[in-house]
Amino acid sequence: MPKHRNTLNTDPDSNDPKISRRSFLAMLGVGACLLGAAQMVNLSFLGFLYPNAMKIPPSVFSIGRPEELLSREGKIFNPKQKVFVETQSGKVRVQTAVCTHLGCTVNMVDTGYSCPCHGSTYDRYGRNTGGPAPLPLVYFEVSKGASGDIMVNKSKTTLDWDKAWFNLIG
Amino acid sequence: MAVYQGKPRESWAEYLANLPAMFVRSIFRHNYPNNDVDRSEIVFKNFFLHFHPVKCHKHSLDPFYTLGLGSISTSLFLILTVTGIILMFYYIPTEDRAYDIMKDWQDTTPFAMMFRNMHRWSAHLMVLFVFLHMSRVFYTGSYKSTRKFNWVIGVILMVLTLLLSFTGYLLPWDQLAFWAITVGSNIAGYVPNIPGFEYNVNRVMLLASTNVGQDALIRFYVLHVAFLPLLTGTLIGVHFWRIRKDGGLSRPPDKFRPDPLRVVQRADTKESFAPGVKRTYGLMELVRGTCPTVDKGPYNFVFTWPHLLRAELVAFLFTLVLVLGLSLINAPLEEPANPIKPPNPSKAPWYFLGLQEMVAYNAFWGGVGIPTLMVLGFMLIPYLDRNPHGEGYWFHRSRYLAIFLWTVFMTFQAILIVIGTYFRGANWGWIWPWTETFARH
Repeated sequence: MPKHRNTLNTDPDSNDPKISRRSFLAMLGVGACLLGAAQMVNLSFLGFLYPNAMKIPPSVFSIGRPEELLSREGKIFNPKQKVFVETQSGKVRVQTAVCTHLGCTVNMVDTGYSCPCHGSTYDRYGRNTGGPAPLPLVYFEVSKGASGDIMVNKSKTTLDWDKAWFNLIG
Repeated sequence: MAVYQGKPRESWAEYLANLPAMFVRSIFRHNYPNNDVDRSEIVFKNFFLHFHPVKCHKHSLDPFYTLGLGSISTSLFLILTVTGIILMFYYIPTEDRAYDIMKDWQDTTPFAMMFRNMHRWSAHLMVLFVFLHMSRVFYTGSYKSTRKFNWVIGVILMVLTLLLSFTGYLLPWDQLAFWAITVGSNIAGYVPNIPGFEYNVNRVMLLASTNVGQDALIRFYVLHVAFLPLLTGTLIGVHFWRIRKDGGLSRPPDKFRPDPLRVVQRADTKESFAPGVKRTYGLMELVRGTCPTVDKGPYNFVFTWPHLLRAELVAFLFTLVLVLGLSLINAPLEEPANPIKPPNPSKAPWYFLGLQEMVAYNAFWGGVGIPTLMVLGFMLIPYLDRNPHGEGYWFHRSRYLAIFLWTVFMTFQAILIVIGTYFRGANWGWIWPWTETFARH
């Protein structure tokens, strides 16, 4: 291998390796170091941008006193928690108002629910009937809290609209 | 016998007489460019001009070839940088302040609305002109041969332009902003998660939470004012640098070659040189061939000062006048962000309505799958198009299929945008534009 390479004098017949063993190993070592450093930077970025503690609203919340709920009939939108609270003859059930497609708040319409962002439609039980919504609107578990308030647990969901009822009187 | 004793020491009078000239010379490393030497030196030695070549081909200056679209896009980027930095003096990225500051600009701050409007309309124009520039490059076949990778960089710049627009319209924190972040971060949530993370890592990295709020606003702010502009500026530099290394803008080969026997064809730039001295030089490892001409420049090349700079100035002034004219129209501001109720219909700005229309069919394919495939497809164009002809010609005859496919694709996108803008009403349902009207962005 010549000491100084000259780009104008390239001999196609020579066995001159394009890169010497020494340079190859050196570049391999430097490359491994750079890759390791890049991994550390990547991991630290990923970790830094994904905090361990996030401000997530509590999954259990109150929707009011039982007598309050008993005093009304029908489906009412609770804007703070983005849920529909449906009261019927002493029973209550709570359904999410967040579209399963891309998270907009759905509107109540005659046929059920409809999303203003991308046109997903649901029937009155929350089953997705049209548009891009991939999943139905879930019901949340309702219970009576220690304070006597009616509590909703967002982490416990069901799709069964009959079992979703909670008896306020019993 | 008179012996040269060196330059005699100048007197104070001479020093003072030369002082103004010396001072000017200490700033500028060249004289006024009224001759060819100084015309080349001003480009060579001035920091702000040195990314230009000293000379450029006449064809590159033809306004009917480039239509000035790249220069206009760059001018818009410069205007956006300046107006954006001005707006940063007032803007505070907090949920409870951002919207009020936008409102205050309307009444309390002189010229604030002018700068906000300029920023807003420049952003919209930049998206438009980047797409027009891209189409120009496609229709003239300019992504071929040595310019393949510069097209890829251009595609990345297009994506960055869209990301800058997206992160930008989130900052007023009005209804448009809030629901755009909601939808955008939910689309990011459709990108597959890294196993082992409780929440979708792509979504959390954007929002710093599982729902949209203050933590999300500061992230989009940092992306908009620091990360994305720096990345874009760097890639614009690479884009320009590669144009120079490729020998200027694409053009057809020169029809007239002065003296075929004496012409030196440089393998790297394809410039044809005018005949030079009849002597053979070998500039080893600098220039291929054996007779680089020493007393003539390349044929059909003109000096950058003033020709190219004048063309750039015209493009910049055209852009500035256009943006200033548009700044008389107030940039829209919707109601303050209301996490309870999205506006109905909830529409993105026009350049995302094609995407919104696709998302309205399927979230993953419309929001993640197809856009990714589209960007990758754009990047692959120079490597898939094996037709070597047509570089530097508008609508070259041999490229009928490529031109047809591009036109169909762009028309399809335009139709999606028109449908999203005019034919979608409440609950994203189909309407006829003459029956109902909605706020459009």
